[in-house]
Amino acid sequence: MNPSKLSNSELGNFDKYIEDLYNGLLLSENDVKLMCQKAKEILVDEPNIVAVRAPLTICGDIHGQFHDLIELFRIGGRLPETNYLFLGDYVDRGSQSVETFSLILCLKIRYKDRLTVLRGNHENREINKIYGFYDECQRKYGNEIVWKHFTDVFGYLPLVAIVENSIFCTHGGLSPAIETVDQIKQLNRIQDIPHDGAICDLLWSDPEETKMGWGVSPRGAGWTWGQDITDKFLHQNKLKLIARAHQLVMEGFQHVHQRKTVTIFSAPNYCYRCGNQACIVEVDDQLKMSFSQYEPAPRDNEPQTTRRVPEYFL
Amino acid sequence: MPKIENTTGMPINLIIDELKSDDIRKRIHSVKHLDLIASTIGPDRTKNELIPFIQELLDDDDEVLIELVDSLSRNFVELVGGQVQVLLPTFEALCRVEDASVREKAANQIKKCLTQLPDQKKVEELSIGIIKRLNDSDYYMAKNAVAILIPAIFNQVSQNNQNDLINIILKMSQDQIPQVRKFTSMYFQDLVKHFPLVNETFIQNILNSFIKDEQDFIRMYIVDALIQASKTPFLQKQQNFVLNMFKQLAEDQSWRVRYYFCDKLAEIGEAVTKEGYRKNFQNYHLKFLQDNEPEMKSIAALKIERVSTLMDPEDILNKLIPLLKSIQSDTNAFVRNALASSVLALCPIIGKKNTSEQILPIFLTLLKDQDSEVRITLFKKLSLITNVLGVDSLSQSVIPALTELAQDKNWRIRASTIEVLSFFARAIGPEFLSDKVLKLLLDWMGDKVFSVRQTAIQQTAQLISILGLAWADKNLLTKIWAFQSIQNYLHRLTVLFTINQITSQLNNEYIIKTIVPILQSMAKDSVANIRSNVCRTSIQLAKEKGGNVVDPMKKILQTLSDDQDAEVKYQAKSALESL
Repeated sequence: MNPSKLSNSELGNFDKYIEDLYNGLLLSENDVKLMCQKAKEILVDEPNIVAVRAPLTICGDIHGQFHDLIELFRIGGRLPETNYLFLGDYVDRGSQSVETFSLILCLKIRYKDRLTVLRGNHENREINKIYGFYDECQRKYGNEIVWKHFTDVFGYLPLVAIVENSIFCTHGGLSPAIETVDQIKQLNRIQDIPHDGAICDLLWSDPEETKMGWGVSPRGAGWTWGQDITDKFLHQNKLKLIARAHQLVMEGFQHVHQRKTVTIFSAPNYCYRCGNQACIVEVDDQLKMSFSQYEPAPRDNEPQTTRRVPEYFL
Repeated sequence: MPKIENTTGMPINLIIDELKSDDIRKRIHSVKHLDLIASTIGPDRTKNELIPFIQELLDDDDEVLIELVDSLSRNFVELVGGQVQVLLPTFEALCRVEDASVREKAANQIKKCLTQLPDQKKVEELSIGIIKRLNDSDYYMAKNAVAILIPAIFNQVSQNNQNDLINIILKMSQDQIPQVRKFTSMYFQDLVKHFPLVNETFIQNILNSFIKDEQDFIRMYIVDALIQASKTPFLQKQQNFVLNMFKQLAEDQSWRVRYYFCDKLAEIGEAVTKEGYRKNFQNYHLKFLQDNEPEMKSIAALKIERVSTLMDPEDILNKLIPLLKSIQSDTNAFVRNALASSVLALCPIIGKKNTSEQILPIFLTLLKDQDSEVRITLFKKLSLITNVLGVDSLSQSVIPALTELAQDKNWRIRASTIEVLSFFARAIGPEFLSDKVLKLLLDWMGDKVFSVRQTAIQQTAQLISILGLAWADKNLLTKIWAFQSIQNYLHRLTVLFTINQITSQLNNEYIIKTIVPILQSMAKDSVANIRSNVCRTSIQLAKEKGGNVVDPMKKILQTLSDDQDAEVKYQAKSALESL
């Protein structure tokens, strides 16, 4: 049996879903239901902290920018040839959260050992009801049902990945409630993100470059943490680096804490106006990191040449 | 009768209910599935209940109406059991809405419905009714559909009705609302096609009033009307009128009108023949190349390709080419890009000597343009100049440009450049693939971006199919196989992807001697993805080549069926089962 425990006909189905999704087609409501079911079956077996082998490519926020996700695959290669770790925030803000999350889920189901999919703070009912995912599901499917299927999956997404016992990866960052990695294992992750506590912090915190210690986060959830906290955490848990996403950075990646914490962001020209580059990080089997920056993919309906004569209207 | 499947996951009754929902998103969803509703309830209920109900929706938001007209345009004629006139009132009402795209689609649907009615008398009665009602409407936008429908049915109605329609057009052409005059102008080209059913005087009167209009977007469309008129006997009868009006448009003070004229130069030339073009319009094109507006220079440069077929080669040499020198160094990249896309079309017309003396310098200048888009555009038309001058003479001048483009920071430019290199290699042969050029190819195969590597692999495979395995093995393949020892697994994969791509070029002897050891070694790679792809490559070779290749492939797959990685194990086992 294949690792995902799919029957031959199921394998064929998921190959077809993936092909359709690469071409920007939407899955039918029934197919979404099936896919979410299968995804839960696979994700429920994953621990809160997934141990991941190198080499692999780490990616940050996508936020529904589907064309740019396809561009990401053009740069980094496709599954299953390239291994990937996504740090969360697949939905909201961009206009194609549905296609984005559908493709990522299908790829996870089909190639579960080559793809690790973590949870971001937007993979939560409360937030994505406001920031676009709920509205998009309504518009594309005409009802709430599909949104419910998707959001049921979010709780199953793991919270942390550790690459080769060395690189600690999560969406937001550290928590005052977590001193050792073992404490994360105790958490019950299959729930809506609480308003405070360890799970919330892991998905909401931000590193602070200028001050030491813990600080109040301007976001109203999670904390800010200084370099001293990073040093202590890495030392205590015998780790080398913290890799996270969650914050827009203009060059697509940014080192802080004397290169012990790195932010990766994979949504270029965020919200179609921030003008930032995106980045993916290729980690080789020696844990050497190579940063690939890229721009938004050209969209089909954009004029490639001179400004066109506008259709004159009063 | 199309039976439509319900893939919405909702029961039909709910979809029907939601046509009246307060939530606009639900109404849109239901309207999108009107064909499903119609197909379920059948043609009789569709005609008697659904269509009248839709009439009530016509007060709705633009967003819903856009969906509605699209939905009804699909297969509704069948869904009402072929009785098209049932749909006409709804489309007529949609011709009165604010959204222009809805109006135009609705008008075109009326056209379509009318062509499906067998009874001519019915067509006349219905269409005249619709046209008159829309024309009399309080809402001036309804005249949009009038302008579209009149030409569509003009030749199918009685003389009396034709006179009425002519009067409607005359009135619309002088309406005080510019939008109405615009509709009339836009669609007048369809009406003039009916000459001589619409007479000379009428055409001239309308065009004369449009040419004096103060709005440039109304004068603009005269170009189309004149082109259509020129395809009828109108041209012979009123040649001076047509030519003079064209000239007025070419000299119009608004650049939009001049632009529109220039855009249609090729069609104008076809209509008035070469002699007519040379005598009357050639000079305008040359003038446009020196216009102040970059838009004008761009469109004029773009048209070089097509109007050159209308010109005398002497004129091309003496009048056109001298102007191109300043275009090639225009400050605006769009202008230079337009030139790059069409200048090479001149080569086959002016012959080898002139191409070498006149076009080659322009070519070499554009080759070094600072904008990489310009250079790529030029490369796409390469064969036009190589066919005339021969590929060899060009290859040397091209290599420095290729080398620079090969390192462009835009990965799409790098990928396009590979195709250009491939073009030269295929045309010239092995001599082109000097060490310098081969290094470029290998660099591309090791590019940071996956898509560039893929393009390189595909082009390499094509080269090998032309130049042969022996040449490839000596000059290229050994260096590619060396990628096996690159630390980055993504680059080691290139070895396997290349084998996949060139399978049809390989003979079994080569496979046994060279490929099998590669696969055996990579089957022990520490990275599971490599071993996975060894499975893929092995099964492909076994199936496509057969013979003595099968056994060694089986052995490799057997070792991999004990792999520690679940995916690799599964792939190897399934592969063995299929053999």
